[in-house]
Amino acid sequence: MKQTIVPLGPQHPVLPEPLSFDLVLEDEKVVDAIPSIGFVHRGLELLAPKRDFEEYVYVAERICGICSFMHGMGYCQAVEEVINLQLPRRANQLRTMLCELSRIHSHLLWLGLAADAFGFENLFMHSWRLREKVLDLFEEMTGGRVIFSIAKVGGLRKDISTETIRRASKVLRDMLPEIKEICDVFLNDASVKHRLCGVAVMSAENAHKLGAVGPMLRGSGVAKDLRVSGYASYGELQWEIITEKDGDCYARCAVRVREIYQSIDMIRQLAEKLEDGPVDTKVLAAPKGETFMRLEQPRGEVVYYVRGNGTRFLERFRVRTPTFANVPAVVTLLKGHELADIPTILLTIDPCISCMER
Amino acid sequence: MNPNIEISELKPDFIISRVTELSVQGWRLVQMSASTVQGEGDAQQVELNYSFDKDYKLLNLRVLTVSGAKIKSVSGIFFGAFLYENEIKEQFGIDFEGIAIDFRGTLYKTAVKQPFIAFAPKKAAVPPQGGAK
Amino acid sequence: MALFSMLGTAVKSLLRKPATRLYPFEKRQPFERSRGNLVNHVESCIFCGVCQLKCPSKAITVVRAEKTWTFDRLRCIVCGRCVEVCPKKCLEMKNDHAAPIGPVKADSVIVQKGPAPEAQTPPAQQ
Repeated sequence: MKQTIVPLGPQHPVLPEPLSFDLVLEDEKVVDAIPSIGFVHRGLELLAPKRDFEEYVYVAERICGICSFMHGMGYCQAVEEVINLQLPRRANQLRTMLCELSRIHSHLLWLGLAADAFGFENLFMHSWRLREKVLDLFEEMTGGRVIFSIAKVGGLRKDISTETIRRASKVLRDMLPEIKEICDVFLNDASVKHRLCGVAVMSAENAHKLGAVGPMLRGSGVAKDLRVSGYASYGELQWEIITEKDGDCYARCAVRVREIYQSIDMIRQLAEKLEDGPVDTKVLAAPKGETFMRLEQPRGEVVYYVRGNGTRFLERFRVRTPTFANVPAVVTLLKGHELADIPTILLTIDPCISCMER
Repeated sequence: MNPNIEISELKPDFIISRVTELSVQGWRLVQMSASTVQGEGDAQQVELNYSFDKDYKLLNLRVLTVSGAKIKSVSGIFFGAFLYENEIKEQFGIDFEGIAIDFRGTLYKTAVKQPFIAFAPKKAAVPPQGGAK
Repeated sequence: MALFSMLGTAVKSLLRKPATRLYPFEKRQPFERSRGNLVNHVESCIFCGVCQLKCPSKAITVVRAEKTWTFDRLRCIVCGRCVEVCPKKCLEMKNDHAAPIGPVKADSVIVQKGPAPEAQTPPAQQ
């Protein structure tokens, strides 16, 4: 059987960001896939020793556009742990609420891109129409649609009034029938199921061995979610880890859909439990020491490593983003599938290439 | 530091045996990173850090080595390690042997090779010894 | 399994008014907190230079002796730190985006000078 090598990307109408694969095909079946990354490498980790640690938040936020707030918050939490700073309760609750809103936004964005990957443009447009309402909420609360610039070392830069939070929670709950209408198409429609069921099956043992994180892991039945460790205000909320057994693209889609509903419920709980008080504390010391901070981003587990030596400039800042951990999984999953399934498989890891390459 | 985080030192010769032991016990590879450290000698000292996770506990193995040293790859045990090892090879110059998919220096095509070594902070000059006699 | 489950939504969106706005005839009203562009009311500026110190992207240059405040609009990341630290509160973050600059890139740099010192009035002659 003759083999052809087809290059996919980096510029491709299906992929949202530049990621290149050299596919070795035998008659439309993929035999091997060799990834190429590095098209948006900006060298942000090397910038950390050159910027004042309080100003580096603005760089950390810009590692990615979709997970922007959680990068800023993860950096701030890591530095706060090194300095040993205790945040007031309201700051933690507001940060948690913005995290969950980011998660809803990211999953709605992913649903749209996944629909676009298998050619369902109408569904893509409707998912993004719902996402616009969430972006309006962000702009009303923080001043920016994509990059919020509201997190700082020591808390938040501005307070968000309790009345705005309660109204946001109500807007989300009023959106629920529309979200349910769109997500029912993803989960029940015959043509969508035909494209998603049985594609790229990954067993729980393989997921563990390949180092997959996030919905890739939870879609294969492994119940692991970093929010269990109780950072920020997650310890006060009632929620449970969402898993699915099958391990195929449909299972991962179902995990993300159910996470949207769960996040809306978490925001409702936070809006009821919101306490009054200050939203920041003064930062009096420069970081000296090292720590690891792990958060649960919409795409999976993210690890921040911060090391400071007592001056205003950090010695080392390292981010291991979830897409970086999921790429070996997708390289293994591509083998044995048809050419037409490739966009679906690439998008099932929820690739965020600018995060991956910092 | 967080009580769930544990850091332990490891000699380069024992990396494969320790990582195999952790893999059998059910630990998952979280990440591998490296950073430059101040040290004596001409070659830049680099500290490798392997992170593993089980039940939300983080275990870190620290290996102190120099830029240009040869280290055996763990991608035979954890396939996912190949991407981290390629990145450390390009940014810090650690020569990993036997990586599952070896990019041979074409992962990030940077203008300055091994940027973390090129821009590592220089050693502070030792102040002259003095004292009133 | 359902067939044509999107048909209901598609027909509804045909009959309702569109979700998009007819820009430029209908413009979007920005929110109160939106970060649009930076404006300096230079009459009250004392050219202390704190905004220059705090800017993360070095978009502001202040020369105290000549009383000039230079702002590179394309370097600004619209974070709002300068507004928070200004002691005279003369910097304002407007909530609407500024108009796009023309084809010359140097047009993005705005230079504002402080008011000239008032002419010395001669002491009244006895």
